[in-house]
Amino acid sequence: MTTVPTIALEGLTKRFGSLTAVDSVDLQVAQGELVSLLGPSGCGKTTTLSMVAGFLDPDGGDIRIEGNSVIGQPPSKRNAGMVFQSYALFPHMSAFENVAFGLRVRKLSGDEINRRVNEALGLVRLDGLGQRMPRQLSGGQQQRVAIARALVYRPGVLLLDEPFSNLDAKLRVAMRTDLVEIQKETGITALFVTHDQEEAMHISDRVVVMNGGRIEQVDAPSRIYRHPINRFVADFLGDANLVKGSFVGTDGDFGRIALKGNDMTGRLPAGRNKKGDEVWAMIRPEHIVMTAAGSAGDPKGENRVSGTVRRHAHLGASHIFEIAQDDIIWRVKRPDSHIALPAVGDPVDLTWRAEDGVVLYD
Amino acid sequence: MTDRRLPPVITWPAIAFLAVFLIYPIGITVAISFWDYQSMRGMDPAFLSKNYLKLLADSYYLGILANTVRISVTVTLLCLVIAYPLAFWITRLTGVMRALATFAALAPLMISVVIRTLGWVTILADDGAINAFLLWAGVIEQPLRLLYNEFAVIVGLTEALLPFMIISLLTSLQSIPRDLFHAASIAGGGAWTIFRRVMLPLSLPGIAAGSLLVFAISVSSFVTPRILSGGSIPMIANLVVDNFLVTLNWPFGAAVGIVLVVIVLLVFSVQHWITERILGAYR
Repeated sequence: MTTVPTIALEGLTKRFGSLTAVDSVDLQVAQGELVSLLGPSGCGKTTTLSMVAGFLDPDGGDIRIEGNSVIGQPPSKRNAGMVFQSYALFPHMSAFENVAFGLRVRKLSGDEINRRVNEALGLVRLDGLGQRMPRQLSGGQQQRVAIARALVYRPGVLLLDEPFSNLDAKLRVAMRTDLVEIQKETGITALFVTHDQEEAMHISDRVVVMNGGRIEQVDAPSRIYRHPINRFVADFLGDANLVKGSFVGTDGDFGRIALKGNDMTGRLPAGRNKKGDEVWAMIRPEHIVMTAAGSAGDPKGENRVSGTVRRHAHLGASHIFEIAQDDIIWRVKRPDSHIALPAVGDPVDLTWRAEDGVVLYD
Repeated sequence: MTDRRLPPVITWPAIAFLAVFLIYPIGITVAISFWDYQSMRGMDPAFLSKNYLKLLADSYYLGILANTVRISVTVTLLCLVIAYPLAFWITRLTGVMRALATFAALAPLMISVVIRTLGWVTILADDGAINAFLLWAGVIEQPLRLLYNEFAVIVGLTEALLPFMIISLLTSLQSIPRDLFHAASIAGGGAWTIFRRVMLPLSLPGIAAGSLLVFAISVSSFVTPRILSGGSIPMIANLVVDNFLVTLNWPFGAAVGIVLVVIVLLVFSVQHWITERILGAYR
């Protein structure tokens, strides 16, 4: 089945002076999908969203919403709703009037406005708080009003610009869950900008990792986590051991890298693999099995190194170890439990499976 | 130990200064405004209402009062209408352009009102710049009477007081987050809706402050009306100056001065009441 994507970006480009903030970005978002634009500050994610919203005009490329190009159309004509990091509630209007704004603009009848605003406030679980002024609401409640305001006129797309960055950590996680629920319930197509990789992993159907104005990788969150396409993505999404080496050869789907002292086997990305290429071995800290020196370790762990515990930090649910193997430092993550963990200075063996290692180019 | 009922020591010099140079003179003026004055004898301490009655019962003086209020209201509205778009435009600029535009808008304050007013004379006079141009262009055959009338006074005062309105509006418009306009726009609001429902209500404090400032200065101005009307349209302040310095009828001059203060306080109260009613809801 071929359907028109709800949002389609084609060669989207924006320049600020000599800086290319967004560099020929191509992206398609399907009906009902929640897609995150993820990247460090200055990667072009917010600029991209601003162009979709219509606050900025692109220098090149096309934006189509529900099949129609919206280039040159003002934001008011794009049939979109938006949630801002600053909430951007109108301070002189009650929560009810904030939500009603988009309906009054559309000249709906008073009864219809009443019904739909109350329905929207119910959707974000703010029943009965309509008469409050924004300043009388908590940060989380204000952002719920903003979400209701963006959804009440049933726009084709929902744009969210780091909506939870101003909330405290616990509330942020709760709001994420609520947002996903609301998004699935309404079936709205959503484009979500964030610099928080955990947030992107949590809520997205697909994640778009951006860097320097370009898209590095687009895929489902767990695919990106397990199969990062390059060093930047591996490093930005989650924690990663990245050790430089040179490419030795292929072994089926796997590739071998010569590191200092040891060779390492890992999954190989399609395409380039020339002997002698400078590559990176990537392994997630939680995928490494750490055992006392001389023990068996993971029986299926093709990769093995020995080292000494140099640092240990207890983060609550997990422990982070730094293992020194000569001048290479391996980070290992272990869950907190009754199982005894090595102490600083202990010699340990690290083992991991080839399928958990990844061979990466820059 | 600090006594919380007393203002902090650091404010005492200011309080002393205001007490000596503001409160005391006003007190004296209020007292003098009830004194007696006879043209041959000068003034005598008394407690008479005749100075106020003279001002409020004589159609000549009432006319001056009405002129002053009418001119000041017109000037205030003109300043508002001219300054609002200008201030909005400045908030949209960035960097050097913004600094330059702000400077240009406020620069007139650095030149004496007298000099600027005399500048208007050379522009508005029968043989001034405007008439010379219109005659040359063949639009008119006789010079237009632009100077020495109410029009000239309004033009001069508007130009002189515009910077005060711009400063007030600029401060107010700058404090409205850009996201609010974006939010209104993406929700479907066109330019007019955004102006009427978001920008205008949120800039009300600036409109109120600027209007009050311009009105208060306009209502007490005397150089501009004296020069640009050639004395034909005296304003209240001219009456005060004339009575104190020319006819030496201090008691009447004091009464006029007090009425002027009352008018300003009245306008201030009304303005305060209106803004509180509109803004109180979300402050």
